[in-house]
Amino acid sequence: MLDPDSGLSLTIARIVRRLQGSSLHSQLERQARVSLHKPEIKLESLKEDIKDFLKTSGWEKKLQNAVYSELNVFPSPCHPAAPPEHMKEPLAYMRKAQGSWEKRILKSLNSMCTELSIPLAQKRPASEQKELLNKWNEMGTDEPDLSLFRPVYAPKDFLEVLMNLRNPNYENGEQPSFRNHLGLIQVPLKVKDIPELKEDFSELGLNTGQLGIDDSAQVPPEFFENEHVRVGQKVLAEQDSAAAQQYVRQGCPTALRADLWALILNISNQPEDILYYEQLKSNVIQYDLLVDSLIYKDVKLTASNDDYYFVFEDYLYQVLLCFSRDTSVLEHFTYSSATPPKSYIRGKLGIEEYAVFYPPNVAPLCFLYHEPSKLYQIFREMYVRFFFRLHSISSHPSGIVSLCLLFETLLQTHLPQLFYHLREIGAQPLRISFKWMVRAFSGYLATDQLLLLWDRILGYNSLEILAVLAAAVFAFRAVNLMEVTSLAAAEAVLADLSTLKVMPLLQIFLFATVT
Amino acid sequence: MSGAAGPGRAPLPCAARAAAALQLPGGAEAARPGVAVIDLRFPRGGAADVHEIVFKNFYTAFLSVRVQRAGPPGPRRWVTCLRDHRLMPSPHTEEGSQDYFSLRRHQMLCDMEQVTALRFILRQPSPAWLHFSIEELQVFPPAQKSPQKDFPSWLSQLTPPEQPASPHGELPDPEKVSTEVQQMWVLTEVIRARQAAARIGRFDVDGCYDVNLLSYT
Repeated sequence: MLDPDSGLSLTIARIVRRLQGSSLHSQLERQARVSLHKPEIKLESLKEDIKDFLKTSGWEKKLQNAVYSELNVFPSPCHPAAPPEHMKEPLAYMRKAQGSWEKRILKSLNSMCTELSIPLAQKRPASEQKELLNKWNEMGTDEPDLSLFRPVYAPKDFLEVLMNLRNPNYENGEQPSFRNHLGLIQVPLKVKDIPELKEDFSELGLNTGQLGIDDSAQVPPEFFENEHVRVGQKVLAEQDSAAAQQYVRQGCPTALRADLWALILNISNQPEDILYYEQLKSNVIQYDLLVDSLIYKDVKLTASNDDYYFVFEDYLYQVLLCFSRDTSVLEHFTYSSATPPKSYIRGKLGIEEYAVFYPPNVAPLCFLYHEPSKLYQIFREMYVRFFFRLHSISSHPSGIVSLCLLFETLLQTHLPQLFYHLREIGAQPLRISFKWMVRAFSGYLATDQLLLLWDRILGYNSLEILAVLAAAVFAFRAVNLMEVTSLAAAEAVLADLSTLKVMPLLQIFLFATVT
Repeated sequence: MSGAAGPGRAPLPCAARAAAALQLPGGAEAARPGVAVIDLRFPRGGAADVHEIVFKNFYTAFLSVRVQRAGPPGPRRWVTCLRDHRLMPSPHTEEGSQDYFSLRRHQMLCDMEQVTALRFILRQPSPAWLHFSIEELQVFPPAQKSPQKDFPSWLSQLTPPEQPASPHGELPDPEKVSTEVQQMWVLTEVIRARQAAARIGRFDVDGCYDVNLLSYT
């Protein structure tokens, strides 16, 4: 691999290139120029004085936050000899599997296009544009005819693809051996075991205060909650991303959550961002995409029927329609194993759009943010940092393949009887928990519990906690599950997760289970 | 063979023989021994200084490298310059299995001057993998001193000369101003030369919304 020195200089060069020319860069320049008028800036020690000024006025902190954000999002630089697809995904057979999966989706979309004779994108007539502009805040009242649209794929289809993933260089023999995994996933990725998870998630331990446990009605707030809220306010005052990320590992007080998440994701609602959102909105008004109808259908089927999220139906449309037109999301494809589909317009390469999203992931955010442009940015940032990994095939430790394997391994190692029993009755545990993990539990947990879980996703910058929670849920309902005799019965036992408390489950599974 | 060589660096031409698995004398069946050897020689028996070795791993867990150096005539000895370098942290799992690696001079145990042959000993103790090898092997000589393309360092460290007693108390010293202006000009040149990766703003290709079908390639 790269030795530490050249790795560090490559990282620095990459971050400098990304921050140069950004709005933060021009703001820093402007501040530096403005500071020249101040009496304490002297010409002889110009550089030092300006640096001190930027430090005291809080601009250095903003720069630190931007650098920290870049480090978190982009993976460490590859070896210079590695081609770009290697950075997306180092394993060749996974790249291939992702490519065929994408082809399948594209075929489905294209055939839907030709069957329904609807173009992928077309300009709206002026009257329709005006109508949409008037109805922008209440798109949920629209009732377009969506009966002809089929969903492009369901989580079950994706699970089938993952189950059939095989490394051609791996000994996938017929005889049962240590190499054949007992679960559904058969690729030999490295996953953590409980001692390693205990170390990684040490802040969830029994001796550390947690929101979700130590703020319940029986515990007097002086023990933990008041102090925790005070620390949170201090972190917000300091505007330090790294400190916020560390703080959020113990949970976020509800009142501070919106601001803390924005700080961690390094979102500041600048005028340029609001303008960008307005530009996307005008794109939505002017052009009609086929994917819009798919979004409508999906939202109508899922969020509108959900007891908690139906109020946000209009917000969901506003965010998702803009998201499908946002070309800045294309940047994340450099480190995602997916490739955006391209289309040819009259022989020239056109803009790239994509067809895969999960509306319920937006809905919980609506509880936190009321302004559409800020809501949009938070959603976009969470998508390009975390949620895109849930529906592309890659070997990343937070990718869906690793999460599935982690779940199965944890269950096998720590609840072997339950695992064996479920396997015998034809109810492979992953078949039930896959839909939870692929949606990051949104739509299954109560909203406050879901937000506590997503606090930890942000705090630890990884999705592994989803697999741990899935295993913890099985452990919690193990007694009932041992008595079922079919897949349908097992699904019934695990159908309703809305009464579960997330943090006690995680704590018990990681720190209090006798192994 | 592709590879991003630095300025002034081209891989040395060499001929690598394919990986040969270890065979026990008298053994007939193809048991997987887990050890393979790749020999690499320079054309026409030449010798070269080796500074860096770059390759792509394919499921090899440990790598040892031995070299033969040009020296006094007589039986040549193989000298170990890298012993059991770990490429895959966990040989049963995929980590590091298809990554690119660089071995540099400072990691080697012996001198790498006037090397005539290199021997790569690959080990993969896990029986889970059907084949293992290393690919895209490239050997680089030490880099030549390339002419400075960046602006010379003396330009950024200009110290103003001894301040003569300024005849006009209020006006700034012209020497100092011209030094600083020169510095700033050079820095702007450097900044202009470097491409920024930040997005400038909205980017729409004309007519980009008139799409009919998505393509598969």
